[in-house]
Amino acid sequence: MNTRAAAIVLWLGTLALCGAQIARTPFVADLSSFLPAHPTQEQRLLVEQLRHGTLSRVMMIGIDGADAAHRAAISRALAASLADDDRFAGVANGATGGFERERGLLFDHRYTLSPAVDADRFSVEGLRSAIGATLDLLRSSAGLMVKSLLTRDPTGETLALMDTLRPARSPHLEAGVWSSADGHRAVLLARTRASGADIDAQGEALAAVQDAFTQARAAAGAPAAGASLVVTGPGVFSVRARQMIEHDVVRLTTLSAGLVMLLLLAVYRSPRLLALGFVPVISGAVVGIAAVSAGFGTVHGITLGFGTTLIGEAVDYSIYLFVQSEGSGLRGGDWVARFWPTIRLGVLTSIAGFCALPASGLPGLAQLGVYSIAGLVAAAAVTRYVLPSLAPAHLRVRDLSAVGERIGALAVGQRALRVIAIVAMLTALGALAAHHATLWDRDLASLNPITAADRENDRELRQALGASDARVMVAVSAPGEQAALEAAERTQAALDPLVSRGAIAGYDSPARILPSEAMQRARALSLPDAATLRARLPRALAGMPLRASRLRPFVADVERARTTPPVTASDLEGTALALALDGLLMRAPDGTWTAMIGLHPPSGHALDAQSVRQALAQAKVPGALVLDVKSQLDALYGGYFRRALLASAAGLAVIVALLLASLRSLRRLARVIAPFAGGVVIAAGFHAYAGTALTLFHLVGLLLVAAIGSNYSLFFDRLAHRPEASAPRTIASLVLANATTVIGFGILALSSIPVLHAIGSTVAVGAFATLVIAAAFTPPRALHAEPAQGSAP
Amino acid sequence: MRRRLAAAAAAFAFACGPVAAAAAFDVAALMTLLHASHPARATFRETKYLRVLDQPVETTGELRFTPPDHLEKRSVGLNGETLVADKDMVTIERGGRTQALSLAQYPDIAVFVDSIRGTLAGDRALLEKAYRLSLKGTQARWTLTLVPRDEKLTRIVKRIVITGSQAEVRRVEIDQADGDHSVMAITPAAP
Repeated sequence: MNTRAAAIVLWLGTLALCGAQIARTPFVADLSSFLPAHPTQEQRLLVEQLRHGTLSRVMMIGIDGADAAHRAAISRALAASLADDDRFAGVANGATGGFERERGLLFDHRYTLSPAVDADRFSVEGLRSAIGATLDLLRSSAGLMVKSLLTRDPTGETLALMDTLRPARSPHLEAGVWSSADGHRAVLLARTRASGADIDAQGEALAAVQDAFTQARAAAGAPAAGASLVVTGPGVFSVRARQMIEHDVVRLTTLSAGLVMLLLLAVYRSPRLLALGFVPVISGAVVGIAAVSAGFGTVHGITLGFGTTLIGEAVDYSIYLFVQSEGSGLRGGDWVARFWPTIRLGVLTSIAGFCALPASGLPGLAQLGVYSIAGLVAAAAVTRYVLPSLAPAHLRVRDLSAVGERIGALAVGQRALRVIAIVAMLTALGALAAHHATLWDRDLASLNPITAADRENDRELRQALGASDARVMVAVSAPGEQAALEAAERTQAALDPLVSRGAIAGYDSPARILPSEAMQRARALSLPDAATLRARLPRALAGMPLRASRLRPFVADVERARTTPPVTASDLEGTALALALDGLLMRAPDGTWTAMIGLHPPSGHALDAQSVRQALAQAKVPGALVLDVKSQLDALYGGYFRRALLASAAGLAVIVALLLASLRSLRRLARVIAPFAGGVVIAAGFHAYAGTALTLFHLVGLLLVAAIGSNYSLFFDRLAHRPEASAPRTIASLVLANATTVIGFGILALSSIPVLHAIGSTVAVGAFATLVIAAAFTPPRALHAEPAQGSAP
Repeated sequence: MRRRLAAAAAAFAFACGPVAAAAAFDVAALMTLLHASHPARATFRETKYLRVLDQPVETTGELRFTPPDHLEKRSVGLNGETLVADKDMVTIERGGRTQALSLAQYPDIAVFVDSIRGTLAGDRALLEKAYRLSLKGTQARWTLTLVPRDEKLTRIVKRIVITGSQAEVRRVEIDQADGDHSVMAITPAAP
């Protein structure tokens, strides 16, 4: 009694501690947990960009329906209201107007900001060619724009500057606002203040867009009623993923628990037994969540969703206890002596399988592993040490021998079932062979829970906005802002030959918007003084229809520029230039500054990241990293895939080693392994047959088939090894336990979240197949043997 | 395009002969005449007289017009500048760079473009939106003067004088408010 009381006290104490831990646990649902944890320096920058950088703060907005004029009206109203919204750093819809402050700033500082300015520019020859070009422009259709600037800016620095800052390819215009190329969708580009990883803030920003759209549509009148809104972007996807996760977790857990309860109620026909059966489940879930919370600091929504599998798994232990110990009573019976060693071995093999998850290196998967391991250990321990004490002494468990006998007669050692099992395995192998080339999905996007419709909308919006170009970026980091800008300038110098060679179409650099102070000073120093410039002008203008005396304002402006202090980031504050700069120049929490230089691919073909790397290496730009987003992410996924493969192989090896150590017989080992090996083949073949390419998550699912399936084959091996009178009850308990497992994982397969769907569908199919194979290949004599004693594992 | 523009227009004018001949040659008659025009091609010589320069600057090139609203202006030299005005969009291509702008956003550029396109297409409603029209001369040699209605626009352009013969526009003269002016002489292209 004392040990039992101690067990109960320990159990309650643990639950209380776990409850306290859970109470202060933040629950998260962003998908960055499924991004790498220990990447290379490039990958770290990339992941940082994906999580917090400009890329993460982009929100792409499309307006469909109604007609072009009304879409444009809504676009303008939407842009106006987002521009006034503090949650947004900026919004653009192609409607120009305003920008007076930006133009003024560029004009005032044209001689230190313009990339064309150096000593040559103001030599007689330089002046002559620059002014000649401006006069040419004067003759052209743009003449009106140039005319007003001629006397102050005859070398055309303002226009040159505006030209370099203008995007290489701007979106199509329809009714005065940006639209898709076919003109059927008005598009806007917004940038949130909050990082893409701040899902709460992203959710608020998304709601703000939706509200502003509804108001703008109402204001545009009845003809605009048919307009609809499309919003995509990394932050938006995180918000949707979280909604999806929250929705799935509640729905799946409820459904799964409800179904398992119904099944158990139908079998036990006792609410009290049902309640007792859930004690280990709930204990396991509480301990699991607390363990994750203690280990990771936060608990991911997907982990909770995965928890539904624990219902199906953990309830098995109480099923074994209740069904197998019938007749001898829950308390004081010999269940522990007879069955516990088998169950313990099953728990150990399951743990060996789940250990592959933390070893995979993905924090998200690691959480699932820790949760499952802690939950299973707790559930098994509670079943073993607490549950018998909680049960009333005279609680009667229904005798399921008859049911077990009938099932046993139908399944165990039946030739027909063997044939079916063999055909299923051969079919699965055939499907695997037929699809072996496309068996594995190597695309990281397959791990992302974005719906196909969202992905398509995102692709279309990116195309319309020309936002898809920055696939390759150069990142240069430095200890300070000025050093980072100077590094960006050295990078530009290395990239310019590639631009003129056509290897890249162009680039966006922060140093174009804000040149380093050193660069600005060097330009100011290269400007001639007023007397020199005045002396050069008549010679430069010889033969031109422009007289030097007209350019007095120019001489005065150049003289002023020589002593004007450099433009700083704070001068740009509140302008569109600051917004553009903010995306390209970032300060990390550790004080490091990083300049991101986005490269535009040459039209018609892909950008060769290798040639960029070579150019940077030759130019000896220190610390420059070339980030090729797509290939970098693919490499990342490939790395994880290999790691998961290794972890799975190791997990499998541990399972086999555990079994061999316990069974000490190669023949029995083969009898235990064969069924779950068949289950793995059938589960993989099922996906191949259905045309599903297998991801990292399927791989993990296959390992779990081995981990969970070994439980069933262990019991069948036990029956075959040492037949006993209670065999029908054991079989009934196995069928019931398998049914709850298949329900738990099968319901997970209904989830739209890839990780849950993949693992759920794989394990449900594999676990069921394992049970059937194990039953079919167990000799029929296992059912009809002399009563035996013993505790063979 | 392939037929001589003037001949086509004249043929059309004769087809509607009785009506056109019966009335005096007024804005309505000119618009009817122009409205019947076909796609046309012409060469131009544009001379700009700017006060800031000692001598006028000159550009030559080719004009193409497809009624009602597609106008192309290709300049010789100037890095092969091409300006295309199509419906609401104006695209300027020069030296490999393309800049597109929507006329809805640039009303002051829109009135320039529309003054030419409206005249070429004989779109009286479009012209009268921004200008007061007055016509002098005969069908064989007419002069249409556009004076901006909007006070803001008068600060940029004083008037636009378009001279033509039958359904052909021969000369567009723009007087800017600051005293600068430009003259574009248009010669219909040979077939």
